[in-house]
Amino acid sequence: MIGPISHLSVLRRRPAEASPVGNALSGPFKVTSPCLEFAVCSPSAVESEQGARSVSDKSDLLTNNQKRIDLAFGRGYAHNAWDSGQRFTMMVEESGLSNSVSTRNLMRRHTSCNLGLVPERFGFMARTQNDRRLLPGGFRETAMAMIRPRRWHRSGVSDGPTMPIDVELRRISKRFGIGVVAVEDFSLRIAPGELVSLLGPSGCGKTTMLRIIAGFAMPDAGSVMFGGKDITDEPPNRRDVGMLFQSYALFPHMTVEANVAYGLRMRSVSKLEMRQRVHQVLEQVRLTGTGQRYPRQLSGGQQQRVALARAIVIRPSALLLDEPLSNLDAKLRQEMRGEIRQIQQTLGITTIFVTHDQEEALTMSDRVVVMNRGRVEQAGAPPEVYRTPKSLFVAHFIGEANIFHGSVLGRTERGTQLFALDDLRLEIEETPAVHATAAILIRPERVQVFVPADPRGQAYSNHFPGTIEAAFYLGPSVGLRVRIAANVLLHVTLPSESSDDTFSNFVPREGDAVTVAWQASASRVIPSP
Amino acid sequence: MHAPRQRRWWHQLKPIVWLWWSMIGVIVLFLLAPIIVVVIGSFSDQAYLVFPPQGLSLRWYVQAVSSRDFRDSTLISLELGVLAALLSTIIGIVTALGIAARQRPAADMLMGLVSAPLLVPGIVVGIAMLFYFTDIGVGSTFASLVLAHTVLTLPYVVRSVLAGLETVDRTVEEAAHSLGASRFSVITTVTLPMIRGSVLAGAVFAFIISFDEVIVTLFLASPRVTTLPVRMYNYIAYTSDPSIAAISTLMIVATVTLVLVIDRYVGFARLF
Amino acid sequence: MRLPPRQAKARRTAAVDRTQTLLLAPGLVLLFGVFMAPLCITLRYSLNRFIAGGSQETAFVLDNYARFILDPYYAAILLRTLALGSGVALVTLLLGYPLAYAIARGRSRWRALLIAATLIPLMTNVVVRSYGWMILLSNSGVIEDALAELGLPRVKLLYTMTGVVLSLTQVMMPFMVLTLVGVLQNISGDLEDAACGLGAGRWRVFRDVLLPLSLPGIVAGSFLVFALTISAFATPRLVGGASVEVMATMIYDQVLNALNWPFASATSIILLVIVLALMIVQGRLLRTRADTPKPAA
Repeated sequence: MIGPISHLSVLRRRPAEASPVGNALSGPFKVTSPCLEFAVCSPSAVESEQGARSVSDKSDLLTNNQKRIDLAFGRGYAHNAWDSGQRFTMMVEESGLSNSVSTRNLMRRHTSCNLGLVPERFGFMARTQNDRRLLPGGFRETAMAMIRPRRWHRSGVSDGPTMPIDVELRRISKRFGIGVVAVEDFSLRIAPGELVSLLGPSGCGKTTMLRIIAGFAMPDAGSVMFGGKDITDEPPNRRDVGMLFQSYALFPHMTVEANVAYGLRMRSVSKLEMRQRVHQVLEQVRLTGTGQRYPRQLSGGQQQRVALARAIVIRPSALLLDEPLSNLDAKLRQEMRGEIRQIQQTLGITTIFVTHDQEEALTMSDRVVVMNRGRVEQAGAPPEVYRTPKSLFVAHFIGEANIFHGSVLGRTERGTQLFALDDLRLEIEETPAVHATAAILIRPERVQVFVPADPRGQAYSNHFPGTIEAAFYLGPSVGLRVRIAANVLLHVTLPSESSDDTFSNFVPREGDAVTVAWQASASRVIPSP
Repeated sequence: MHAPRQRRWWHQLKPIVWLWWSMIGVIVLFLLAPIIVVVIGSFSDQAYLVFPPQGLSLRWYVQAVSSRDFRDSTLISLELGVLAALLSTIIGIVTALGIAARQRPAADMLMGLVSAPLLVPGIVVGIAMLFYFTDIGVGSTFASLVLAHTVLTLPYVVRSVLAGLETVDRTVEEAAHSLGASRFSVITTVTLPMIRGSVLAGAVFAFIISFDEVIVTLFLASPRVTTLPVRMYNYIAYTSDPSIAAISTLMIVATVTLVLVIDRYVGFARLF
Repeated sequence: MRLPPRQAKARRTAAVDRTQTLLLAPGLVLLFGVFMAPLCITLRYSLNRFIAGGSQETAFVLDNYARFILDPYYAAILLRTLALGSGVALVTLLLGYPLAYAIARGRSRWRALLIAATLIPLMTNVVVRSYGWMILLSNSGVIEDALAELGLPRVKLLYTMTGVVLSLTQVMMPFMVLTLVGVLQNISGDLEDAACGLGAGRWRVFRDVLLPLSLPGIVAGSFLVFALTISAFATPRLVGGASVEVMATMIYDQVLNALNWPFASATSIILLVIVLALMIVQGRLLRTRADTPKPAA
């Protein structure tokens, strides 16, 4: 990685303006995002491999076998940190040539002049304040790549360093046929670099939503905005998205390399740069050396990583993942969760991730959007969605839950409220709104279990005697079903071995009589719709 | 927030989509053109077939149905079709069972052999049949036609039955076997009933192929034994009144109905 | 008498094998007796010498083959037949591919209609279809009238090669379409979406994804249509009349009119050899594509 560039020096100016080496110039440069465009002349300061030498006339160009073009960038220009292999436009001019000569002519001129350019070992150097790194790439290759500036923008997507962008979905609705609502009035704003999951059961509209963002489906109403720009009418090949399909959709007739390079091909990236970037991204997904294989020769996990590489190598504005982990086995799934998250964070790409697995959503996302029947039930950070679900659906869908419907009776002296559940009286936390009937949520891990004789149970605001109806050994924890009333079955999760020996003498078995206890603060009221 | 932008379905139809579907429409029209022409032309009231017809009438249907020649030919075609289909189905089932019992590569070779009639050009089969039956002294009789049609339709039946056999769960046969059925009983009481859809499809297909067969039959036909397609061919080659169109329409209707019948039982895609 | 287990098993398997062979007997007898034998007779006749007047003398000469290959008149027929085959294969491919794509990717309502449109011609007698084309292409036919309306010159279509190409295209289209549909259905729609999402326009999606992956189907369909077209008789005869002579019509005339059975046999054998050669080539082509590295264990 090259650090921030600190100064620019044009090594030789156009004939009209002469200037010595090393001066910062204020024009004729144009800084156009997303690329920097500037005119750089053929080197007047040339270095060979042996060491730095400065040359003042052209004859050295003819004799040296290796040339390097020295460039550095000027103050006063907005720029981002540069990646190796990052693209930029360069127009190479030689003194004596007119301003309007095309780079193609220049190339021909150079090569036919027998300057002895050795493309493979040609490199660009960017001089930073203290060090210089070589930007890989031959002069010839890179110049060739820039000879086709118009083709860059043919498909409407530019390729290059991107600032992470925000994605906004405004009141998107979509229906299929008559009466089948896929998505209803969906609005969401995703911050740049955020990973948002769309979570919900099958048929909730999450995949449809993703396809709308990618451009494969048109919404009936609403708009999709990328970085403030309305792209709803753009076809998918003109949006700058990287998509990972559930089936991976790797091209079976192309090698891994060709697969990953496909998006770059569409963006007319130079062959050399393509090779470098593909190589780099394959390293990132830990698939080095598989470039020449075909997808059918790879395992499921490897195929998925190829698909991921293909999506990220183009440096898209947004990364869309459609249940990418559902075809993998459990162990691999866990591994890939971490890897995907890591890559996403390193690259800082805004990501939208569709899944029906709530564990995945909770572990990977910055925010979780729970969807049901085309609508957003709740959108928030994982802890928020888990601890304070805003609807019954969310409470049921995420994690295990004890949900009880009853009526609120009134306040107690302890600052809690009394909740009537059949014949039981529970103490729940205070809520600002008081409705006669309410639903409360108690997470199974917030409930403690004691032997009836144990006095510690009395210390909790809620404690009830009960009988264990079922006990499941889950490995790290034990799941219990405890009946505390005729119609009330409590789900409880206990650590199977606790760190403080609280339960060392207590082995829960079916039929045992126990006391269950939880604090009032452990229960949450679920807002009614 | 302001009201969302509405998108009507016609906004989403770009010109290229119209172009695409028009092209498909033209291609479909091209596919069905001659059939449409014949069907509509059969209602013409003129003595020659003109499309589009000036006036409508059923006179050609009346003429076609009352023609002795056409009635005889239809009967012969039907008899031939049924016999050939029957024979071909029986032999086909047995052959398919024989092939299914074998492993590759023997099974593949046998399948290739059975498919041979499909590969050899019709004209070659036609003259070969003529030469053969003349050579062995039988000549062009109804019996030789039946044999020829059986050979021609056999590959279709075998293919269809084999496809059906592939869907049979081996474990069901094994269950029957373990319950005491002999191999023969297993086949007759378990396997065949399970694939009766495929068998029926193959049989009906064989009938249709035989009914529509022209080229081989042309060589084996004689003045006494002329099938409907052959008579139609001769008619067209020498005359040209629309009664042919009427008969053709009747044939089309009959065939399409039959096709719908098999589609009920077994999806068509499986046969290909 | 109880045999030791191994022998009993051997006996059982032997019995099973016998029945299995018996099962194949009727089919094989029919095939060899009523199919192979006629073909052998044709081969035999092709080596005989023709006696003017309609009989043949037993011989072992290659005169008939030589006559077909060397005589320019017959060479022209051969070339015309092959050209017809190629032309029809090409046109059915160009017209059939979009239709096959529409069927493979279409929604169920349209699919059923399109499939029906493809199958109905197949189920219709070829004589009927040719008759329909005769009407369409005739001098007072719809097509010529339509051309005249558009101001284009009246092109004679019936009894011309063009007419034969047109009608044969329609006859052969279902074969091409069905072959292609099979192949296209196996190409997941996700692949096209993936290419599109990566920046490929419609043309590039076709060129980079659909074309290479559907190539086996294109080859199979083209070969099939070619083989069927060069063997076609009824359509060229009815629509082309006496002016368009292809191999099949020529063979017919030789057998039933000129009564030159040996010559007709030789020509038929040549036609058969061409078709068989096509099959072999196609098998080779498709097999080499399938010979790709096996998946990693």
